[in-house]
Amino acid sequence: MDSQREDLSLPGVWVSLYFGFLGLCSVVTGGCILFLHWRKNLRREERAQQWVEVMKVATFTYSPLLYWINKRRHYGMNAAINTGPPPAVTKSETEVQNPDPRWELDIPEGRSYAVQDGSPKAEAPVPLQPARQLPLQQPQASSPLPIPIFQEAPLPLSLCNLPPMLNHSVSYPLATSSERNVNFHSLPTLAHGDHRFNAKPFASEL
Amino acid sequence: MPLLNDAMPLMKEPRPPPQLPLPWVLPSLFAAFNVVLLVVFSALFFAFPCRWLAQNGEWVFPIVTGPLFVLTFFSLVSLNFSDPGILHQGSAEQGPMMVHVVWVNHRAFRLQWCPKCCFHRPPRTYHCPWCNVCVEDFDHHCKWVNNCIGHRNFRFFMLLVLSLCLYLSALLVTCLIFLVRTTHLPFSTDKVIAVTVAVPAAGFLVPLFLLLLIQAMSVSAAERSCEGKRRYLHGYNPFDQGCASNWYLTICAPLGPKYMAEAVQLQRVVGSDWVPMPSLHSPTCPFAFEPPAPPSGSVQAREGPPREWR
Repeated sequence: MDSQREDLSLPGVWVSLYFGFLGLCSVVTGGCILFLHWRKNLRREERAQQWVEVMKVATFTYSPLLYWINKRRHYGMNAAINTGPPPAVTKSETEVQNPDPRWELDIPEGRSYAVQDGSPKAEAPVPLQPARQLPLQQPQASSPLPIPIFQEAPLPLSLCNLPPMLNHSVSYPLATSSERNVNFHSLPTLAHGDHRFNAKPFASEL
Repeated sequence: MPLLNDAMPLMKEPRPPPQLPLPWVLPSLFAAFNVVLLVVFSALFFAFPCRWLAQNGEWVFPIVTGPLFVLTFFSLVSLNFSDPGILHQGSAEQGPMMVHVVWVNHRAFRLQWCPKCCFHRPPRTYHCPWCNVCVEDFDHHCKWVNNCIGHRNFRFFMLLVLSLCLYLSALLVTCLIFLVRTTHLPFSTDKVIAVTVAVPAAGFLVPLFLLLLIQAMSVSAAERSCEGKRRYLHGYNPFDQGCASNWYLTICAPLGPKYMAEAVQLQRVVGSDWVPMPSLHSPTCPFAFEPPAPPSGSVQAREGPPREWR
């Protein structure tokens, strides 16, 4: 039995061939993953630029906040949005309610100055309807404009050092990015060329 | 004035030094290295100790470890390239001076302005400095796969952690059984490979199980890794809908249409002609340079029926 088990080992020639084949497969696999990452970054930048074009020619109003709220309502959450200029009443109220109002406020909905949702106090899950029209308050003409409203939330925790921050975003590339020599591969031709946006390829990719 | 400080770099900062030619290479190289590592160690395992056991009639080992490897490889590759839930600016952003308050289950969130993406981030949406995008329900940026973990791919992340734990456990047990059954045999290549595979498997197993435990607790409490409990006032998490519902929403609930796909769908519904209109706003981020213009209208959601959820 022992001799039979010893015979089960692979011959040395096959082991060498196997390791060579494994090394080749490793290089190919690593190259493919690297190529796909490069393609992923490229497509993100292209889609971001195309997104800017979509929003420029959009015949509808679209907001990530309403997209977010609609989705949370699908999940059975009671979500609503309130939009307006920085009222002093709200600021003082939030400071009283929350000594650290950097991210979350502790304002009872009954005190809200303009909650626009139809039934914010309803305990039952809101019906799965898209968010409705959200009136905005006009800013006061007499109020000075550059009033600090809130502090930027700290960046999420990272495991290591942060990379160099760019002056633009993949989500929202600046038109001046090509002048700043930022590394958007797709922007020079899209931003300065006679690029006519075609929605069909964009839609098909999605 | 923290808000102005945030805007200052966009105004007065001198031109940034030329970026590295390919800043994505190093993180992507590390992610590719991890995939190669999984493939190499799995190939060594299946070719030596697992083959030896199968040739001795122990077919249960390849039958168990084979599907686990396929599942792990699939989830790892999927997580590398999956969409975490990227959000972009909409067509009616009023600028950083506007106050947006979102109510979620009787708790208000004052939204923060993202100076990079130029829009007010919804709750739990953060700007990832590595990927340079705003991600919905941002959990963390995973350097092992060089991708953000967010709303749309968190279930892939959980699948990867779970499958890795199971696969490494099966791999470690198989190697130990092989070593026990070949103690009376002389030193061979199979034994060397078995030890080579078992040692890193055991090393990765402990932190992976710990990570799985932490993530399971976070999902049960509807928390995110990038947030802390101290952020919620009075310990009330408005996103917490109960343990079972939290797991359902995280793992099983339909994700809905993608942000960009929904807009394209809306454009098809509202108007199929794509004749360029006069710009609604400059493609640059004007709010970082100028006082905000008064809002021109109302933010209006889609009026048609929601697109069919997947």
